[in-house]
Parts: sequence; structure tokens; C-alpha cells
Amino acid sequence: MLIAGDTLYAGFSDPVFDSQRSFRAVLEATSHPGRIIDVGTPIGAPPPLHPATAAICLALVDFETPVWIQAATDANTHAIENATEHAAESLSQFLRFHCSSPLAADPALAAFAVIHAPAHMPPLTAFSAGLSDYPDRSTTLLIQVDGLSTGRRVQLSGPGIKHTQQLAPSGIPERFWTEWRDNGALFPRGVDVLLICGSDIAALPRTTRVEMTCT
Amino acid sequence: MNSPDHAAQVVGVHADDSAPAGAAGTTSVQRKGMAVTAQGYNFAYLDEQTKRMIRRAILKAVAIPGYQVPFGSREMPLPYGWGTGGIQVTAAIIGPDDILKVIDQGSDDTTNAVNIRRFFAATTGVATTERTTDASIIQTRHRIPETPLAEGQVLVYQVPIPEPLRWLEPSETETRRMHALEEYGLMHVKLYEDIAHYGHIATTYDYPVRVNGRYLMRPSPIPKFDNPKMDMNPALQLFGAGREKRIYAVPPYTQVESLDFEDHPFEIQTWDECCEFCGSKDSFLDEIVTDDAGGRMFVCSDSDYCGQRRAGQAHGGDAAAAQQSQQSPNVPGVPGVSDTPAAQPAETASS
Ligand SMILES: [Zn+2]
Repeated sequence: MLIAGDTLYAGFSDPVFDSQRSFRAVLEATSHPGRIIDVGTPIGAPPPLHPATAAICLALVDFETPVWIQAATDANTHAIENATEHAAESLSQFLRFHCSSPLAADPALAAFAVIHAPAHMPPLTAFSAGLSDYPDRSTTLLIQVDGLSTGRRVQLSGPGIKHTQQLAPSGIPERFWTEWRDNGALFPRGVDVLLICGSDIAALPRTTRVEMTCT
Repeated sequence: MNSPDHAAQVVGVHADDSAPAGAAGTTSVQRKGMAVTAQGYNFAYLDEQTKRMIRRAILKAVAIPGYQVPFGSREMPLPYGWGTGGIQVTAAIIGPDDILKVIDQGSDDTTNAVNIRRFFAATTGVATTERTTDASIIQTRHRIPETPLAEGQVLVYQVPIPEPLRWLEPSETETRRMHALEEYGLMHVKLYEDIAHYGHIATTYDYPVRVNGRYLMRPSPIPKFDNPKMDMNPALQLFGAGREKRIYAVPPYTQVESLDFEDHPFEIQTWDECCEFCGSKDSFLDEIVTDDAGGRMFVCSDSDYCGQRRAGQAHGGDAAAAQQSQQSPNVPGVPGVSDTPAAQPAETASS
């Protein structure tokens, strides 16, 4: 158990089944990009970590996967307020304690990246897009947003989507969508993204094409 | 098939020796929800660190359709050739609420299918079924079920050789480079040599496909009859190669095209006959030699599909009566032959 402030943050109450359930939620989300999936494993998470972010980290992150945490090691931290700096510290404690994961100083060396203030996140090109003969060696970004259905609507298509899929994340900067189009052009290289709000997630694997729609 | 006795023995240690025959499954079901089974293994046999590693590989495989993700394969209590890649994929995804179906060449009753089903019943306690429509996970060797799959189902293929370019280029470094550069001309040349030699493309199994217009992929040794089922399938398709340590995937609703030529379009196998048991003209048929005098008949390779059709015919389409047994028959047999209407158990599924 981890003490952050006055609060105790346990890991999964049942590591085997909670990990399996969290993984299946991520698998379902990745198989159906843009579809909102409830990760559904109740877990305490140190702010600003959302419950789904904590569950996904516990399910997928370990000593083999360097994690980059926004602000803790970001050169642009001066742009972010002190509270965020503190948040990054409790977050990295949580990951080190529960997942034994090494922290990546350079986002380009991270298997996972945890982003809690997307307005200030580095461009997608700062992360690893993998190699052309090993495109799987790329960063998976866990981006916490303010909502998944309350922001500007985008229309998604690609593998996993029968016709089209709508998604309306809020709190993601406009530049993200331009960077996402460039990310798609790198295929088969590229980063993969999980958008997270509370216990809900929606996946944007690198194959997903995004069109901005009029509201 | 190689060394079935050895495999049966190894699996038997976990499935049979620890409990009286037939009791292992029941005990496990009662223990559903426990992380450690009666046999003392972690849920689904694999340790949690291995599962995490395989799960990460599966997620990257889904994100890069048709691309072979390397993973650190673990020793399994079955020899290679018995589907260790598929078993590891199933073990990494399966949870207590899943319902598992295992088929080998379309049949639930072969030694291979029965052993794998028992392995998971013993190490997870999950419910098993022979009905394609009831299963949430279907592990398969060499077939895609005839019954269309639905969204939410996962089809796990056992893959002996994952690399489609292997016979043309032995070097892994070189085949990776060819995939990276989308350099697939050699494969077309190989297929065209077939046409020059035989007048048609002679490849009938493990027929190469392009996934989402990009990666060239081996679908595992399914008949090319099954290739069109992969295209835009609502189910998630996962492929595990144990010996070569590769996982790849076709997400739901993803384009899968069989390679062909304008003047020689891709065609699936057809039969003049229909199934001796159910009369199907649309299913993949196995030819069975019935006597020494050269007698033969054709029967569905997919035993659940054939059984459902026969049950529907016998009971005038009564859906309840069409339910098949959940328990696997004790006698592993030749697909179709052991599966005659008289031998078919008529219990009601309890899922
Ligand atoms: Zn039939």
C-alpha cells in the first residue's frame, strides 16, 4: 500500500482477475476504436490519476516497460503550475510502488506515457513511433481528458469500425488532431492512444482515421 | 499429427490424474472465481508477468493489423505442434466469465481439441461449449467455423509457421525488411509460377492474404475456402505461433484480401456433392472412405454446424431441441464419422 498525503492507495484487490478484466476492456476498446468502454475495476488512484489510468497501469505496466510521466521529467514543466508538479510526483510514486516500472526521462524511450494535462503535452512526434521493421516498439499514450462525449465531435473510421464511429473528447488541444493525421501517415510506424476519463476509455490505435465534423 | 500419445500424457497430468475422470471440470467450475485452481496453478496456467507481456503484444498486434509481433513464448505443458501459441494467447485473454470452444479441423472431438479444452477447464474452471454461437472465445486449428461469428467473439488461431515469405526468404532480417518496404512481388511470382505450371494457383491451404491493404499475412493452414470469412468479420481474430514466438491479429471489420491476379481471380473450393448427414451444399466437406471397396462419402468438416442443422431438421427447427451437449464426448473420433445422429448426446446446454 502507498501513502500519498493522508490517503492509502491500494492496488487491485484481486490482481489476477482485475488485471484480466482491465486488459479485456483495453482489448475491446482497441478492437473498436472510439467506442467508450468502462474499465470497471474499482480502484483508488492518487489524483490526478483517473481510476481507469491506474487500472491500465496495474494491468499492463511492469519492470519491462519504461513509463514517461508528464511534468515529472518534462523540459517544459515551467509552463505548468506547481500543483501539476506535485501530481506527477505522487503518480510516479504509485507506478514505482505498484508496477516496479522504470521512469523514462525521454518520451521517445517510453513504452507507456501518462498524460494528465493534454493541453501541455509534447507533440506526438516526441514519443516513439517504433521502427519500420519493428513498428510494435512504439509508445502507447494514456491521455486523461475532461470527457469523452462532451467535446468537439470527430468522426472515426478504419479497422475495427464497421462504418463510422463518433467520439467527442473534451480537453484535448486542437493541434492533437493535426498531429494525429501525421501519425497515421507514418503507418506501420506510429503511436497508439487511449483517451481516459474516470473509469471510461476510448482507443485510437494508429490505424484510426479522424475527420473533424461540424457541430 | 505428431506424437499424440505424448501430448495426451502431458495434458493428462493436469486434466485427469488430479481428479477422477469427468470430475475435474465440475470441481473447476465450482472453484470459478479463484485465482489458483485445484491443481495448484495460477489461473490459466501462465504467471502474471508472462500474461502482461503477451497482453501487451496482443494490443500492438491489434493496432498494426497483420504485423507479426515478437513475444517471449513460455514453455507450455504441451509439445510444439499442439497449439502452444494459440494456447498462450487464449491463456492471456481468458477470464472467469468466458465460454470456451476448441476445434481442430472443424471438430470439437479430436484428441487435440479435447486436450486443449480439458487443459483450460482444469486451469481456469471456465465453462466450455461446442456451440459456436455460445462461445466467447474459440480456439481453432485449421478451420473457421461455418456459423458466422458475432461482435464480441474472439477467434484464436493456432499457427505453425507465421511468416508468409519464409519459403521464399529464409532470413528473418530480410523478411522483416520486405514487410517494412511492402516488397511482396516475390509472393506474386510464386503464385504465378503455380499458374504457369498447373494452369491454376495450386495453393489450397494457408493461402496468403493482405490485411487492410498493407501486411501480407499467413492465415494458418485453414482451407482457402475459409479465407473470405476473415474479411470484415465482426469478431476479433488473434493468431499465436508458439515455436516462432509471434502474435498477430485481424481486428473486427478489417479488410482481408486473398492474393490473386486479374486473369486468375481467387476462387474457393467447391464440391459437386453435399453433406451426407445434413445435406449442406455451403459447408467445407471432408471426404471419408467408408469401406475397402473404395466407398466414400462427404460430410461437413464443422461438426457443430452439421449437428445444429441435423437437430433442426429432426425437430422441425425447434430451437430448444437444437441445443447440443456441453460435455465433450469421451471418444475422440474422426470428424463426422463418430458424430452420427445416433451417437449425438442430446443433453441441453447449461450455459
Ligand atoms: Zn453436414
